[in-house]
Amino acid sequence: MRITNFFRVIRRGISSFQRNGWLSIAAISIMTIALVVAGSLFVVNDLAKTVTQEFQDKIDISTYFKEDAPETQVLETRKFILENPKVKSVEYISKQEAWETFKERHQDNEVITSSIEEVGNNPLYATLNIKAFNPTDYPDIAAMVGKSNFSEYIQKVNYEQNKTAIERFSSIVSAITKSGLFTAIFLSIIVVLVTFNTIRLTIYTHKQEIEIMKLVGGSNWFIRGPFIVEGILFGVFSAVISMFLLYLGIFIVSTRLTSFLPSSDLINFYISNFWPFLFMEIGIGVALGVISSFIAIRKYLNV
Amino acid sequence: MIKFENITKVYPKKVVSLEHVSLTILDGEFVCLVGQSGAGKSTLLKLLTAEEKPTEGRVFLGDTEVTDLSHGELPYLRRRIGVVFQDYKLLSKKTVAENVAFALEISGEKGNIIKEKVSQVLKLVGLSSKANNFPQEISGGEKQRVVIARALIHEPEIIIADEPTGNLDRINAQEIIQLLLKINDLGNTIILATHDKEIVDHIEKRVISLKQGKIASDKIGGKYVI
Repeated sequence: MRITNFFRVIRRGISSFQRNGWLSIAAISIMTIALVVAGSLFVVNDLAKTVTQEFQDKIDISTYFKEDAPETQVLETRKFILENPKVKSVEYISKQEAWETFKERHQDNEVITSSIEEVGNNPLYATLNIKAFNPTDYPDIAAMVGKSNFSEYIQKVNYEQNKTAIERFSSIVSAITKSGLFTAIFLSIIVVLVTFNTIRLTIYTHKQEIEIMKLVGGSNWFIRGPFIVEGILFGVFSAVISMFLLYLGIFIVSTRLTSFLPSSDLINFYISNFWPFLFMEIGIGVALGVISSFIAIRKYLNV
Repeated sequence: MIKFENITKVYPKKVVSLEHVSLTILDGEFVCLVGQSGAGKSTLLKLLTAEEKPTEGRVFLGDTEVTDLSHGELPYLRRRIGVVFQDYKLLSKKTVAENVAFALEISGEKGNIIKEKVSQVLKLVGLSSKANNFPQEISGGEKQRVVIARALIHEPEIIIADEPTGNLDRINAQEIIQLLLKINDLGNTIILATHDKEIVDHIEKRVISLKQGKIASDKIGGKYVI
């Protein structure tokens, strides 16, 4: 395509975008909804990660060591557990540390304080608190610790006590992930189809124009070009509007959400991800607009 | 020169539109293609612009075998032909001048040259004063003159006019035919498909009559016979 025609195509695309005001508004509105849905999926995905993380951080299994277990053996056990790639962290709480923490926590409770004085020596065990990357791995990790060479020093692994809670949480996380993925795919398909159909309708209104262009000798690219330019404009405008609407939505939801999910900070997430987020929205919008235009116009070019 | 070589066109459901039609039109000729509705006039014209492909036979425009062109080559063929439609086919969102300029824009012509040519051709069809009007703001006769201007702007070798007076009153129809005769005098080949007996008899040019997809008669200085 010659350079004169390249600029001509861009000019015609912009001019058609302006002259078909209502159609442009309709297409931008539908695409804005599409992009708000896409953006919301992005935000909800982050929120789900935060919630999952929060719960995951609260879950661990504790390994209690026998009273006579030497500290070197406890540290060796820790080293051994950490070698497992499924293990995220292992926190060592020594017998003394556990005792100090216990005393500190109950210093206001007279009954316990007097009982401690009565007992005199430290009755608590050295402990290793193990966290896994994935909660479904806890049974394996617990079994590995129980069967290891260090098992003779271990009093108990409290996985059995937490088993039900851990398993329930694992199944919830896996259900959320699966249904989230399914919802995202389902919504994305609907959004793509609705957008495609809207653009198909706008192109349908230009059916006669396309036919005439073909009959007076317009090449396919010369005819297609302005519609693609329009598709780009639809994408950019709807991306900018959807970013604004998402901010508004996040602002409203965030204040309520923080009260029961303190670790969530959606506004900060939005602000710190503004540019990638904007480019993602523009990218999806432009791709939707261009690909839809490209496919929708194809059948009218067969004159 | 335009040449139709043993053309047969059968549409789906075995509807035969043209049957073994052979025809040659010389450069600079004015040919009236007459016949009743369904006789095959429009199909013959559509074969020339490659809107339709023949079931059998070949079509030539000069040295180009139209029936052999790929999809990508069609725009170049169509720029050699100016088409005047009965239903105008004007772009309602474009002004008269833009509608005419459009046919040149697609070939990548420079802006200042387009402006100059549009002004010349609008003057030729007598529409200089309506250049900035939209199609819905002008009369039927004026619309048809815009279509002729659009067909003329890229200086095509031939002009095809498919029932150009079908939607016009007598006076406007006469004006359009006069315009086509004037263009023919300038050297362009004109193919006029019509079933307006009065016009055909009046202009006394070559008349080709089609009947049920076959050539019934072909006479120079002929009359409307079907």
